[in-house]
Amino acid sequence: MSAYISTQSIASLLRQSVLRLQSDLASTEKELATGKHADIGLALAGRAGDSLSLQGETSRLQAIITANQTVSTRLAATANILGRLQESAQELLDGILQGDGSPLNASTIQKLGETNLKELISSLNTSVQGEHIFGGTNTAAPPITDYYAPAAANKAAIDSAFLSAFGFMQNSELVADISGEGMKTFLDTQFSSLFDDLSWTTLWSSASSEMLTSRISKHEIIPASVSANLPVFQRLAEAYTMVASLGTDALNADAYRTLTLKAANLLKSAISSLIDVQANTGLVQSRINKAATDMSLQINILSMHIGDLENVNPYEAATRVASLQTQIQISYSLTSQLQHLSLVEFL
Amino acid sequence: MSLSSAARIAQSSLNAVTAETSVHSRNISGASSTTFFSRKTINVLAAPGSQVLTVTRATNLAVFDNLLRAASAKAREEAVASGLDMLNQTIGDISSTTEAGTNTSPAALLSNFTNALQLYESSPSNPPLASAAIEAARSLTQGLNSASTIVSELRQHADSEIAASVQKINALLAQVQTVTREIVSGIGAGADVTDAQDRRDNILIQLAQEIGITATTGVNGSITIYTDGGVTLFQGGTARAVTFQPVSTYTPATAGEAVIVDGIPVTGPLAAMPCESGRLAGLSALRDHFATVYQAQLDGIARALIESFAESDQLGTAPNLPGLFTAADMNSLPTSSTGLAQQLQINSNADPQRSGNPLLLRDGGICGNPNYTYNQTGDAGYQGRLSELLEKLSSTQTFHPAGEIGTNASLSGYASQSVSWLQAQRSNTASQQAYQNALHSTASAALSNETGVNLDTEMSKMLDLERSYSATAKLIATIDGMFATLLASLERASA
Repeated sequence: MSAYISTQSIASLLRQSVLRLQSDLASTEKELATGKHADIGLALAGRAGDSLSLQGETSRLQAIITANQTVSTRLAATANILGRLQESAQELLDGILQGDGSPLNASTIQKLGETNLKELISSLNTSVQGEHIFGGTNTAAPPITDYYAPAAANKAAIDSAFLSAFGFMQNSELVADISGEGMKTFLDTQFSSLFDDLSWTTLWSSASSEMLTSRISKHEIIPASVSANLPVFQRLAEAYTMVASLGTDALNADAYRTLTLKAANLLKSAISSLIDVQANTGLVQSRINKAATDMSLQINILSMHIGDLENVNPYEAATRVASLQTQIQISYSLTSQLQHLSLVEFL
Repeated sequence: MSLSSAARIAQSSLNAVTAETSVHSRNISGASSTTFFSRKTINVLAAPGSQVLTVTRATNLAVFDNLLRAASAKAREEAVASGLDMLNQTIGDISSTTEAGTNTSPAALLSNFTNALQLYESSPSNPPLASAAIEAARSLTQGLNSASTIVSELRQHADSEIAASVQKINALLAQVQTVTREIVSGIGAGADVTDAQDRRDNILIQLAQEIGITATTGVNGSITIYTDGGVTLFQGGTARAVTFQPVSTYTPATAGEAVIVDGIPVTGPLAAMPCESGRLAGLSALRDHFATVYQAQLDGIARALIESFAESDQLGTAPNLPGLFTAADMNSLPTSSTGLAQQLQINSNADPQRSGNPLLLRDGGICGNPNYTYNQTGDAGYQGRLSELLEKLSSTQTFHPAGEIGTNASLSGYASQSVSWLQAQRSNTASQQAYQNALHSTASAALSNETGVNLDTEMSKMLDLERSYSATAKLIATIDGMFATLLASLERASA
């Protein structure tokens, strides 16, 4: 330390320290106001990218949760429809079982079959937010051909099968002459082949067997839709068409018994499959809900990490502002005092 | 001792006091000078009847060299810091609570795009979501384009600053030549050269800000200046030529010319004796290192995007083609990544603004060849391609080592590492800058204390001189009175 000090260095020392203090004060005030580092990039340096990654992760999870809300709506609608289909199938089954093969209430049963078939078709053609939810990945078009529409391919195929098997149409009076054995053969061969997988996808359904999927985490995808191509819908359609469209109310007791027995068997197996499908849908729904809860938790944790990186301690910032202010005040008063501390003043 | 010799001594003492006063007033006037000013002292060798006045200045070579070094290092860090701040524009505000749209980093834009794609994947039959994903892709490409433009502009800017710096160096060296001639001839003639020496020191300080230098002075007042890398800038009274060929337009592929001193390149990768400090060193580090590395990172991101979204032939074995992300006239996957960030754009076949079909993002076939269509059945709910794209976005890819942040990373990981890299350089430079600023102000203060002027000292010396002046004046008056008395008594004696 030299004993000599130049006038300029006394002055510039204070000037420089005031400058530095003022720029510190500006950035500390910003920190106090925002609660975050004044220049986050500079403060985090090599960890700045981590903060961005965490932010990206958070928004990605948020996007997945948002997207899954749509999926939940779809699944809720699906579950609702499956429940209704199960109820109406049960109703028809109950009607058939109560009649115990007697054709007394045949016309009621036939009406019920018709209603149920219409309900099945309209249910499977349901669209939620413009998506046909039973269409698999083919969401653009209603999956099931309307049996009651003019010139419907599925009805035409059944009519012609009936005609070729018995030689007359379903509305002919000759229907009463069909024997139980004849009906059984028809139902087991020609009729049932109209509901196998191949006929189903050509005559009945334009749905894709590929299911819509849902992302329940960044890398996990689960199927989250029910396709109209499932065997359960084929069996339901088969049973309803059988009851509704084969001249049921005009059949003799034997043929009627054969037909209703066959329909009841189909309905029983369809109902138990429907329950499985519903259970499966519920499972997917709960997985999505659980995933949303997990992801929300994850978002909380990530946000905490982001906060750790970005935030400053407000008390510390406040203390720093106070001490900087004091220092600047001292510098000011020193500057003015030093101005007077010159030999010139005393001459 | 006679009265007349006493009168001569009093007179020479008056002369000495006047000369000293003039030196002190020079010091006082220089005390508040903003440029370098050294304290002058006068030595009076008074012999009866004659006196020799020599003016010398306070110097401290070691402290002065320190100041030169500190000035060079500070100037380098300042140049680098301002350049990195310019690069930081490509990042925007990275705080998590900023308004959407101010975080313009490729990493954030990529994250937005991924989210848009994610939403579209969840309901692929929703065309507005396809358009939203395409728009997010457009923002991403535009973000990369403008980041790349900023990098090129920065290099361009650094290049013209280098040219300006070289011009200034040459001008300063010419001044050194003039002043040195003045000093050498002044010392030879025994004149007061202290002001010229101050002037030369000032020029050296300015020169050190442009380029790191070491200077040695000879006894005859000559000077030799080398760059800190060891190349001669000034020797034997003549300045060596510093030359530079500026480049008017920078593209990512432009290399830029080196600064040549005395025929030897001192910047750039070919420099055998590179200059380490000074603005010139900072600017060339920006132009040739920081900016090019960042450019390589941006290009790496662009290339990875093109490759992640490339489409493969679904019916045959034709080579993969660029899909959503492409560049003008790109008919096959790129073989080099240079300049891709600048050229990146979304394929017009999927761009609704150029009558393209955004749904191709779901179906594939953006390249224009129907064989590359993934959704062969045309299902509106087809998710396969979108899921595949999302997987590719998060899978590990290979990047060029020129980016200096590793070669294996996922696209989003690489993009955020790029942000980390830039911020680490900024933080590093900021702490270097703070350190060099502190060193510089310490060195300036040390030099000022060693060689500067203290007004109070000068004033008190002036007071001393005032006293000695009045004492001398009193003496002269007394001698005058004695002569008068002598003469009067002589007159009386003769009368």
